[in-house]
Amino acid sequence: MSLSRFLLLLGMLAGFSVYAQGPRYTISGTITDEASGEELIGAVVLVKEKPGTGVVTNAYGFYSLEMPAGNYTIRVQYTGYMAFEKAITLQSSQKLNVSLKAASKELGEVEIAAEKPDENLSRVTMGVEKLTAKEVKMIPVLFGEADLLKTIQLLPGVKSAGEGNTGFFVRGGSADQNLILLDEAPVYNASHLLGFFSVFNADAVKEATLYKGAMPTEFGGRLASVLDVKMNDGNQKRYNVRGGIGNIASRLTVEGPVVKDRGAFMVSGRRTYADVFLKLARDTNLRKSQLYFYDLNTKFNYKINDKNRIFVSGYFGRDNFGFADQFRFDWGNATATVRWNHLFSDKLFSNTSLIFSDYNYRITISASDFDVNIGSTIRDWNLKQDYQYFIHSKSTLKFGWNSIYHTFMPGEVGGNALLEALNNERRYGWENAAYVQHVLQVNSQLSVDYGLRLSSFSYLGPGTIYSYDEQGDVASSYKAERGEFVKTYFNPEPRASMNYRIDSIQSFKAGYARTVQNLHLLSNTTSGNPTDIWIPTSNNVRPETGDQLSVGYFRNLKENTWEFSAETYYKHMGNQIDYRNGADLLLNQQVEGELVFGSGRAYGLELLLRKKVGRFTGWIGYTLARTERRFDEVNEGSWFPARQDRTHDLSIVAMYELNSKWSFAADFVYYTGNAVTFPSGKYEVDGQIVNYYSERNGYRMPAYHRFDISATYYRKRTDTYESSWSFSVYNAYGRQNAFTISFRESATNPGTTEAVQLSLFRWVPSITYNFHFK
Amino acid sequence: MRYFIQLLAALAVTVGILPGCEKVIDLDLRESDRRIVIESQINTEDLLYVKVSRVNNYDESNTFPAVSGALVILTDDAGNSLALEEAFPGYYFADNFAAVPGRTYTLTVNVEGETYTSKSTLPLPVNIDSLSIRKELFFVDTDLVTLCHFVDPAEVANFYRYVYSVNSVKGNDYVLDTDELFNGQAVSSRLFSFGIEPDIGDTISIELWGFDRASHDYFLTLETAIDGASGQQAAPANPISRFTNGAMGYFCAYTISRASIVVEE
Repeated sequence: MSLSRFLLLLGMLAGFSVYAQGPRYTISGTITDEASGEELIGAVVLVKEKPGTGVVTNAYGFYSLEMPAGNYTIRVQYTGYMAFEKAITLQSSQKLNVSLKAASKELGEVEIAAEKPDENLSRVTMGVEKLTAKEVKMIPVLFGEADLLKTIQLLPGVKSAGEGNTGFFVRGGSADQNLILLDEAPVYNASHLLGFFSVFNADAVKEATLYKGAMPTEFGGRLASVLDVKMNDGNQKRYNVRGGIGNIASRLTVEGPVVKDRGAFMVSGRRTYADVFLKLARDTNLRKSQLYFYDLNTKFNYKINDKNRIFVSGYFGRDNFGFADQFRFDWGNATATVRWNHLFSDKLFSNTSLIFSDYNYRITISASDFDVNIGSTIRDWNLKQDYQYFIHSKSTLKFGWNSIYHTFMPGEVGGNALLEALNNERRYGWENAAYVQHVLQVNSQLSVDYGLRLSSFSYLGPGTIYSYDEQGDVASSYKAERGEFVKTYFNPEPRASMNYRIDSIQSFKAGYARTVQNLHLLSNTTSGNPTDIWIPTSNNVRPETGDQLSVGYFRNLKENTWEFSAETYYKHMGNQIDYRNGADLLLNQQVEGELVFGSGRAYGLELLLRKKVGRFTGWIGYTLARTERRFDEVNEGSWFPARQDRTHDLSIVAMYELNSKWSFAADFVYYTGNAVTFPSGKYEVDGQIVNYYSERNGYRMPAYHRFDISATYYRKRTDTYESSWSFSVYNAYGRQNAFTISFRESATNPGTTEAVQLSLFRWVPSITYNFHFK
Repeated sequence: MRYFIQLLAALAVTVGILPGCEKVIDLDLRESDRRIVIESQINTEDLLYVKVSRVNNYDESNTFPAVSGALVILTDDAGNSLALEEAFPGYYFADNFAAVPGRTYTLTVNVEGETYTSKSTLPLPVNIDSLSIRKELFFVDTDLVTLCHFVDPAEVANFYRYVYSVNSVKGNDYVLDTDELFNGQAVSSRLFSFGIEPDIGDTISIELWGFDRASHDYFLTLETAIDGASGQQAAPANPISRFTNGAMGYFCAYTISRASIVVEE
């Protein structure tokens, strides 16, 4: 089907109910937090007289509802806020901007419980998880530094990349198959300090949404998931200073109005200071070492008038390792986003974004007469246009397009004439997509959400274009001109979700999504390195494809205070990438010759029981899953478990607010060990013992489990000032979880070999002091 | 790059960010198939040996079963053929052998009715011109670095291995090189070994081996396989096979040039 015919069909579907009735008017506006003026995303706007009629605010807090003329009571509600109600007479289209008041502690319980939020039942798409900064800050984590990515790993279907690591796997996908967005800008390496911290400073984050199933068509470019992180917009009403002092890092955030009620700014910084302690070390060498990271988030927004608003946001973060003047290794991301919200009418909302994203690393070595610097960069310029057309209260059309120009600098070597020959040529890619999506409530029970994303990727010149033979050696090459389209791939990505509301407390959902990925991360270590490189789809590397089918059952218990869900999925992955034996991934101009291609499959069952309101909140998540890969070159072409294949994965999270002074949180995690390659035998060559491997990933690491606990004490809580102490212990019962298992000759029993387990973190305590001037 | 990462890990451990805890564990590893392992070198100094053994289970001892009674034949592309004799269990030799640069050799080993073969081409010899020693600041310490001077032939792609030893104690790392960056030029390779540090009065000896690409790739993947025991690699694997029929090990024909130098004050 051509795109135009598809659009026509959408228009017909969307239109028929509109023109079937009398005069209709629109009520639209923005929902904000009364105290800060921040927009509330996902607030529910209901019409009391018409049960089942309602909309949810978009990413900019905007809503639009179209109804026949009449008298209505509009109700606005959002978890953690007091509900708002207003009677209106709809005789012409009108604006209704609403500021919601945060529910105070004591009131909160009653009020929220009475609201019966059942968004989990009414939302059409499944496999969506939302986290707010507040939840993230409650949960105990390693080093006491609240971390979005580590919290996400506690949800079903999401698996940690390893002990204390912020890398994650979604539904059997690999770590590079997650699209991580910070205010729409892709973050190519979301971790600091070898993965132990994420780049997301909890003070700067407003909320995060993870799509692990049928992701909306506005997103694309990765197979497994989208993690959409939104930064705080800044307080439009008054100045705020907040911060925290911890044993690993400190944070400071300042926000306030630029022009009251029209614009605001937010600046947030964070820095670790392990190296400050190094300065105190007795060892002069240690004193010369550097080891830290910092990051800076800034955001500015300004409302030009009722129809136009601009947002400018940026992130800059850097890790630094170094030794005196001789060695330096630093890496980090930089992103910038400029957005313009425009209301063409009270029904047509538009957002235009210009996005810049850069990730690079640099290694600089200065020895006596040997200077060299090695670096690698991936850089994007991205233009994105999104429209939301609120046809009527039961029908919304979203469409838009997106164009990204990628520059890949896989290996840049300088400072040494001899080594400069190792310089790798730059590569260029142009990624384009157009999408359309229609959300339609067919009747009181059935809602559908369907659409199409059409994506393309062009591998561009200039550069030397290679083709390879079966052994991975160069078969031929030629020079492509600047701007030459070496190879272009087109991919239609159909996606659809449906929700059948069985009754007021249960619903059944199903979804299908096709996803395509044109950037591929090359990494051959277990933990992921800052030096891992991204390569584009090319004449040799084809786009990765994913097809996922999922169904789920959702039920709320005890007046919506408990949510239960069961989701199951099957996913097929095409054009997956692995490496030839002995592949050399660093500074290798012909790295594509080192790659082999195969397929993957993943399936599983995810159960979640969650209590969202009350003094006691938390969840139990369990995943039963399998994920496998197949390559002709590995294990004689048979299916084998991927490294992140974990049969069982259990997370229990509990948070309890004892009184206005004390709150507690704890979590327990258990999962089957990773699939891993161990030697079955050994032999001797050149007088050395060499391990003999009979198959890939034929063994398992020991099961992993851990219990963490934290307590927060609010010293002071007034309208203008708040301060608290947080205490936590990571791995409270000191389980020795295997980080790596290595093999070596035994020192105690010569002539034999032994397996050695390395464990990292046991009983790691941390303490943080947080303050907030309001 | 591996060294940088190890250095980072070492830095992190030193400052107490990663308080590691090591212990020996019992792993239930499967029975391994008893594959044949062949190790064979021939060189321009008339070295010729073939060692045939088998793979052990991982939990067995490091004494590997010698394979006796194999039929071992070395042929070259000039039509010569030589049968090797078992001098002691698992070790096969021949007298009156001289490897000729430029020839391709084929080793055939027949054990219990199974035949394993491998080819290796001997390049033209490259000789060390001289050695020199230099002090270099290497992060914290001043280390002695040996420079090995030679001229790389321009006509062909060359593959090298340096064997570094101090007072006849050999470094056990595989220091490999190709002429990709210096084809046809005079070269001064910087050599040192992390394990053995020379003192004043010590003799540093360098062997420069020249061999074909297949041998280079084998040693490279052998080193990766040995590193793979550290548990850091996502997918450790056996080195690229140099023999047909799935035998482990290698057959390498190489040219060799030696030089040595005494460390002075």
